Parts: sequence; structure tokens; C-alpha cells
Amino acid sequence: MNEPVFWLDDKAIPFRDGQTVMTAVTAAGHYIPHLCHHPDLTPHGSCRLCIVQIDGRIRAACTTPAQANMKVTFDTTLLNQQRRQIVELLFAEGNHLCPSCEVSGNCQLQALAYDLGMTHSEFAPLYPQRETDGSHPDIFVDQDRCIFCELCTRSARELDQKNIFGISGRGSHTYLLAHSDSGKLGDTALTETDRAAHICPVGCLLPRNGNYQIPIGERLYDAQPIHIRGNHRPDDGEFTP
Amino acid sequence: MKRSQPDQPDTSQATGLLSRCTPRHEWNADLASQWLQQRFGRPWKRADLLQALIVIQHHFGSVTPVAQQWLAHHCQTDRAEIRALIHFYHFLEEDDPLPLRIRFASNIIEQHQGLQALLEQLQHSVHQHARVSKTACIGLSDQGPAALVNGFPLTHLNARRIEAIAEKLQQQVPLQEWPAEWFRVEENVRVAGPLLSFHPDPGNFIPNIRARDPHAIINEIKTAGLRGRGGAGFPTGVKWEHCAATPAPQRYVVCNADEGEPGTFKDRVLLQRHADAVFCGMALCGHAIGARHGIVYLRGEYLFLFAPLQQRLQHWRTQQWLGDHFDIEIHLGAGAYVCGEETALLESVEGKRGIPRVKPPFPVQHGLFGMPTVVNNVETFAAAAWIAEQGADAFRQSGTPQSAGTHVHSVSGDCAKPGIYELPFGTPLDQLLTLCGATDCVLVQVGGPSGVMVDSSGFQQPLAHESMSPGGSIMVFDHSRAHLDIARNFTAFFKDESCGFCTPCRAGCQILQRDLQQPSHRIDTQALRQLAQLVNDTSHCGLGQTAGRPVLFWLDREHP
Amino acid sequence: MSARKLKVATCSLAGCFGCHMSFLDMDEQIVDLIELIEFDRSPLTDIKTIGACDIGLIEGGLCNDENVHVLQQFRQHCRILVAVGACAINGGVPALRNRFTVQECLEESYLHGVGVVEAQIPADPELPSLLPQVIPIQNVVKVDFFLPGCPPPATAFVEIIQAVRDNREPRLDYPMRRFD
Ligand SMILES: Cc1cc2nc3c(=O)[nH]c(=O)nc-3n(C[C@H](O)[C@H](O)[C@H](O)COP(=O)(O)O)c2cc1C
Ligand code: SF4
Ligand code: SF4
Ligand code: SF4
Ligand code: SF4
Repeated sequence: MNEPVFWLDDKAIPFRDGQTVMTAVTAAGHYIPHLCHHPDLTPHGSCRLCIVQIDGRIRAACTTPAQANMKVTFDTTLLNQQRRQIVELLFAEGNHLCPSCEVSGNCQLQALAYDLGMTHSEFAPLYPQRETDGSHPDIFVDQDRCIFCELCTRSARELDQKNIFGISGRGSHTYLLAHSDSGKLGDTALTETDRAAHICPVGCLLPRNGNYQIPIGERLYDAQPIHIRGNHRPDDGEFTP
Repeated sequence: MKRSQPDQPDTSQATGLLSRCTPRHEWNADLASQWLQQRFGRPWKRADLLQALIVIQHHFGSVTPVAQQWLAHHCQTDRAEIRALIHFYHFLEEDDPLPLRIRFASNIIEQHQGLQALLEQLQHSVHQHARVSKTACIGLSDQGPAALVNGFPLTHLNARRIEAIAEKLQQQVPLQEWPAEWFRVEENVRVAGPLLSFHPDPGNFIPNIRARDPHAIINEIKTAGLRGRGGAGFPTGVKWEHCAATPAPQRYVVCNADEGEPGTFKDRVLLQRHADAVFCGMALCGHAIGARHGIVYLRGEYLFLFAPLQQRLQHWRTQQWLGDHFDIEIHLGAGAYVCGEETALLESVEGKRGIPRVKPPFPVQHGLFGMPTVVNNVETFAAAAWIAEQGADAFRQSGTPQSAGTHVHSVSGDCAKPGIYELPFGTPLDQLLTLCGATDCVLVQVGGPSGVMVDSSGFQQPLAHESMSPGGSIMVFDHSRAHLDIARNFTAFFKDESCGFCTPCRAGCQILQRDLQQPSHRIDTQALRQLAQLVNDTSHCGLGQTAGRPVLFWLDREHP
Repeated sequence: MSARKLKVATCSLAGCFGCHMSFLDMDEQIVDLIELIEFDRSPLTDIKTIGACDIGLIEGGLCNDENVHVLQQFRQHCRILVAVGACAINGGVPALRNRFTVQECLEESYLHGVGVVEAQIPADPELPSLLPQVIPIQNVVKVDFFLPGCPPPATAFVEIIQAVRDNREPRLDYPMRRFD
């Protein structure tokens, strides 16, 4: 019974060597907000929603190795406000017009916004000009909603063993790219059955079929917040209406 | 129009590899192969792609779709991968129909020196011949306004010089025939201390250190109390020790010559006149940690140093100061401040986009190609070599207990004598201000935009790690300068240089920059403060973690 | 609790009136509400000028200069200004035009669009001129509360009005926090 623990606020979290704060906390049945983390993929640390405070410094829980007796501050007014502001930044940075979005109600970004108490973005929208790509028979790309979490790039590489997606550009010109000579998704080896085709947490990589089929009220996050439901998609095999 | 001969690359100084020349424009695969053969001297592969792109860009003016296809084929990758690199590095272009590209340095110092008027003057007269744009600081704030033309620096610009440049452009005079004096880069050493008087003889130095026990070298560096000169001040000996202690089949020594922090140019001067000292320091480190490969990551803005440094390395090789035991390669950057961050730098050396890695693991454990790697600043290596030759005790004779030795400051802005000042750590800021002739000094930015803004209440503070970490850049502002303009310039810099990886910095800098552009009475100072703090608190790497500072210093001073 | 009824004004800027419809769609709760409020300027009353009000409910974002003018009037006259619905909050569906220039939008609508007859871009000076982009109302005025949704549920309107009556922050429980 000498399992090492660290502290998430006042909760003792047991962990194994090699676990991060995120994986240990999840295994212990608690939820830390996140978008770019996925249990099957290499940690990334880009969305910054999983911020926690350790030794006075803010760190990402998904990339911080768990250490015995470490004190991890998680649930404070300031941290929750900063998490909400990060979600607001994502809304302001893209073109998130939820009423006209296929994944509304099933979207993890939107669900986190609800859960973190966001009613609006305090940052005026930037209304960027971003591309769409309709070249693939099964998956449509609408970059207005991309949050650059790289779940797609990592899942294609790590789970499907394919090089399909990448991120390019820099800073405000960051964009999603398809690995083909033409740069079109239709010219990549992506297939409908790839994990990467069903992992986007928002409405950027959209299956062409099956949208708007779940009635409002029964969608993933209509009734229950994401901290209870977890980060899911209707088509990830774990969804029960 | 005169052009270099298509099929026989001329290796003379005028048109040699990456020399000052007007690019030819038609793609020619044979010629490209020859340039790349010259660049690498060996078969090249995917990891060399960024270096290959830089060569193609330089000699062909852009990396056109045909060139991309050719490169993709060579590296067995797709064009998207190549475009991903081109779109990350500011100096690479997909398609540029005009023969030349002129980039004006746009740091606040050059802005104050009247950059905008000069830029517009040139733009108006040469828009069919050259593309004119801005870039971040190019390390010439002491001799600005300055600009890069196909990567080579034009210094001391003024309206008359711009007129003359426009004439050359209109007459399509090849760049290699422009007057050399336009390209003269001054050293402007105003105060030389021990380091700037240090000219080791590699013929003695290299055999001497190779006869020494690696542990003893590391201990000497530790005893000397040498701390990194790249900004963070990490103890160098400890870094080397960690690296040496990590078991691995090989290790790397990387010299960080990215010098991207606006207002910094000391590393340029060290490489201009103390390259041997820097190489000695790298060889010393290589011997101490057991590394056979050294890499100098030279920022693209210092392309003019590439050929001389290569020549020097070649000389070292013929003298067998370099060889199988330890060799040094130069990797060029291509316009990305973030690549000065050590892990982004390693990504860039691996031929990728410069996205900072997750730490831990640190480079000393898992660095270049996964191998333990020491990354140190140019000045750090030179100082390490100095310690190896003169001893730790001599080193500790200047400076303070926590910040031993001297530090080389790059001084620019509103002062009579901008340039290089080597002073012992602990020297009060106002002493430096007196030396450089800053008679009407209101504000001083210490350590560049990511450093601190000091007003007269802080001028007595010593320049040392334990008070304000000096970094290397000192920018002086007199009473005629508006603090808000400085904050706007620095914030725009961070926005342009954010790599885009993490949300707070990528999105936050865009919003900070936009909202700061408003007329000052319309700025919501409270919201701005919160956002700047958010960016600092929650960003992934050091860039974002300091990107909110210029806004916060402005707010603290003008809207407390 | 004071017996005085709260004065409420409403307007629809670049919106679709869907938010107004939702406001009215509160079944029998409207009986209680009528005890609480009376309407000033509103499409529901047809009063055209606004007087001093307790609450201004703004539907829709800003797409032309007239929208801006109306919004400023509301801000001047209303103690509490509420951004109602996705359009007011981030531009909503009308903001889909933001990727085009105004000229492109006009040409598509009046010259090249499907089914256009007598192609001509209207140029009557009486017509409000379009802003370069559709923008949220909080870009231009201070907004006190935000009611998200497209449209927000009727219960959310009730909550806002009760909160103002009770002089407290509105509480939008999970089902009331929705962006569609
Ligand atoms: C955004 C960013 C840019 C940096 N740029 C440089 C640089 O140009 N030169 C440098 O030596 N260090 C730079 N650094 C610091 C390096 O990450 C690293 O700490 C340094 O090279 C270590 O060398 P030192 O210990 O000798 O200082 C930068 C750091 C950040 C976060
Ligand atoms: S991706 Fe999510 S947040 Fe964005 S518009 Fe769609 S539903 Fe809204
Ligand atoms: S497409 Fe989706 S999964 Fe891929 S980076 Fe964008 S938001 Fe993430
Ligand atoms: S802080 Fe900025 S530069 Fe650093 S990783 Fe994040 S986006 Fe990139
Ligand atoms: S938010 Fe929705 S319902 Fe309200 S005006 Fe806009 S489109 Fe109509």
C-alpha cells in the first residue's frame, strides 16, 4: 500500500511511474478540462485548457509528469477564469457561428464554453479568412472552426500509421494542411474508417454523412456538461444518447 | 540584365554559395543540384530540407512549385510538407516574380530612426523591381536604419542612399555589383573587457584542452560560476554535467547564434571578431561532454557571416583543430525569432518548423535527434573558452558572487555612442548610460521586448542576474518617445513571431496587438491587463510567457 | 420589492426576429411577466422612439450605420443593456458575410445572384450604408448582460428580468447556456 500519490487540491491522486497529472487524475475519476489531450495519443500541450498550478507556476496537466507529494492546485477562481478566457480566445480567433454549425451540441469546444460559464467572448472576434476543402468524398474540412489541437495529425500518424494532416503557417497564419502534392484532402490516403476521420473535437473535420441526425435535446452535451460526459463525439463508439 | 552563368556556378566570392547576389529566376534542376552539392558536400536528406530550401530561395529568389516538386521527390515527401516549412519561415517564399526582396528592420529603434519614410520612398520608386517589406530586428540597431537585400544588410540608410539604391534597382544592376561600402557592418566596440580582448590561438588551445580531464573542465566552469548569456542565466557547468551524465551513443554541442531578441547584436560582433574564441568554447564543451558534433545555428539575418565563418572552419579543418574528434557545421535560420528558443532551435536544425518542444525532457537529456545536447549562447561559449585559458579564479575577479565575469551589452537608441560595451556584471545601469552618452534618458528597455522596461527609479540598479537579467540588449529612449508606441511595436513583434502552437500566445497576441492599435483613450486598460497576464501565465514557451510584458509595463507606468 | 414596473425596450438590428419570437414563446409565464414589466420602444409596441428604460434587449449584431445609431440610443436610455442571441453576441449567421467585401456582397446580391432581375446596386441615400463587417454590439457599446442562444430560451429572458428586478447577477443554469 505504498502507492505514491500527489495532491489535486485536497484529493490524493494515486499514480504510476510515467503517468502525467492528466492521466492520473483521469484514472482517478476526475475531470480536467482539455481539448488537445486524448488518452490514445502522445501529449501535446497546445490548447492550454488543462492548466494547473504547481509550485506557484502554471503548467499544463497533460504534459507534466506526476511526482510524489506534488501539490497541484486545480479549482480556483483565477484558474477557472483563465480556462474560460482561453476558450473565449479560441472563439474569437476562429469563426465559430454555432447556430449554423453541424456539430453544435456535440462540440467539445462549445461544451467547455458552457461548462466554464462562458456566455460570450470578451474578446472581439477576429473573423479570419480561412479555407474550406471539399475534395474528399467522406470528410469535409471547414477551417473556420479549427483550433489547431492536432488530434487529427497525431491520430493519423500514431493510430492509422499515415501522414495525412499537418499544421503549417505561423502565428496568426497557422492553418491545417493535408499531406498531398496538391494540398487537397481528397488526394491523401485518408479513408472514412481511419481514426483520424472521427477525432476532431470541433466542426472542422466533418463526416459528410450523419449530420443533424440527433434531435436537439439528445445531443452529447445538451443535458449533461462535459465534465460528466467526458470528451467524446457521437461517432467515436462510446456515445449513448 | 546580367546574370550568373546558368550551368557553371561560379565559386568566386562575388557569386559563390549564399553570397551577395541577385537570384536568377528560371528554375534549373541541374544548377540546384550543384548548389546543394556545394552546400552539403555529401548526399543530403530530409533533415537537410530547411538548409536546402534556404539555398534554393537564395539563388532562385523563391521556391516555386516546380522546385518544391523536385525537392519533394528528392526527400521522398510531399509538396505539402515543403510548403509547411516555407510558410513557417518568414524568409522563404513560394513565388516571388520580382528579382529582389528588401526587408527593412522594424524594431522600435529603426522606427524612431524614420524607417517608415525610407520604406515608402523605396517602395514608390522600385515597385516593379523589388518587393519591399518589413522584418523584425536584424541586429544592426547601432547602425540603422538598416535593411536586408536578398539577405545581405544595408546599413546607415538615409534618403540619399535610398535614392541610390532605387537607381541600382531600376537599372537592374546585379546585387554583387552594388558598392561594397553600402554593406559595411561596423563593430562599434566602445568598451572592450577581457572577453573582447580575447584571441585564443587554437593551435595551443585545442591540444591543451584535449589533454585535460573532461570532469576537470566541467568543474572549472562550475567553479567559475559561468551562467548562460542567452537570457535565462542557467549555470553552464551544471548543464554540461547533466549532458555528460546522460548515457547515449552520441551527444551534440549547439551554439545558439539566433540572436533574435530585438536590440541585441553582441553575438554578431563576437562572431565577426572572435569566431575562434566561440569555436574554441564549442570544442571545449565537446571534449567535456563527449560530443563529436558541433552546430552553429546562425540566424538568417546574419547570412553575411556565413561565408567567412565557413572559411574559418575550413581553415580549422586544414589545421586539424577540427576533424574526426570534433567538427562544427553551420545551420542557417530563415527569419523566426522563436527558433532562438532552444528546443525550437533543435527542431529547426532537424529541418522542421520551429515549434518549441515540451520540457521535460530537456535538451541535455533528449536533444538533437533525441541525443543529449548542450545548447549555449555564443557569448557563453566564448566565456567558457576564456575560463579554460585564464582560469576560474581570474574569471570570478569581475562581476558579483551570483553573476561572475563580464557581460557584453548591445546598446542602441537615443544615445551618442550606440554599440558594444563589455562591463563587469553588477555595473549599475546608469554607469552604462553615462558611458554611452544617454544624456536625456527617460526609459531603458533591458533585455529586449521580453525583458524589462526601467525608468529613472531603476537606473541605479546593477546589471546582474540577481537584479534585472540583462540578456544583452539595452535600448535607450529619450523624452520624445511615447511609451505606448514602444509597447505597440514590441507587441506587434510578438504577434508576428508567435509560432502558433498554443492558444494563449497565438490568439492572445493577435488580440493584444489589435486592441493596442486603438487610440489610447479607447483602450480598455483593465481587459488588456488581464489578457496580457493570461498570455504570460499560460503560454507554452518563453516567447508567450513574456509576450504580455510590454503591455504590462506600459499599463503599470501610464495606467497604474 | 417596488411595485413600479420595469420599463423594457427591445429592438432587432442585424437579426431575424427569432429572438423576439422566443421571448414571447413563454406560455403562461407571460402572465406573471406582464406584472413585472411594461414595454417602451419595441417592435412589439410599435413605439418608435425610446424613453428612459430599465432594460434594453438588443437582438442582432451591427451590419449598417443605422444599427449603430439605434444601439447608441438604446445605450443612452437603458440602465441595463442586454445582448440577446448569437447575432448580438458574435455576429451570428449574418457574420458569414465577413469573409467577403461589402462590394462583393452587393454585387452577388444585386447583380450576379441567382434570380436577379433588373440588376442594379441600390444607391438611395436614404438607405443605411453597410459596415465593412458585421460586428457584435459589445464592440461599440458597453453591454451589461449576455443571453446566448439562437434564440435564447424564453426562460432565460425571464431570468434576466427577474435578476434586474432583484438587483442581482442573472444565473443562467446549464440548459439556458447554449449557443444554438
Ligand atoms: C523565444 C525565445 C528566444 C530565444 N532566443 C535566444 C537567442 O536568440 N539566443 C540565445 O542564446 N538564447 C535564446 N533564447 C534562450 C535559449 O532558449 C536558451 O536558454 C539559451 O540558448 C541557452 O544558452 P545559455 O545557457 O548559454 O544562455 C531564447 C529563448 C526564447 C524563449
Ligand atoms: S465548432 Fe463548436 S464552437 Fe465552433 S461553431 Fe461549431 S459548434 Fe460552435
Ligand atoms: S482539424 Fe480538428 S482535430 Fe485537426 S487540428 Fe483542427 S480542430 Fe484539431
Ligand atoms: S508561447 Fe507562442 S511561441 Fe511559444 S509555443 Fe506557444 S505559440 Fe509558440
Ligand atoms: S440569434 Fe438566432 S434567433 Fe436571434 S436574431 Fe440571430 S439568428 Fe435570429
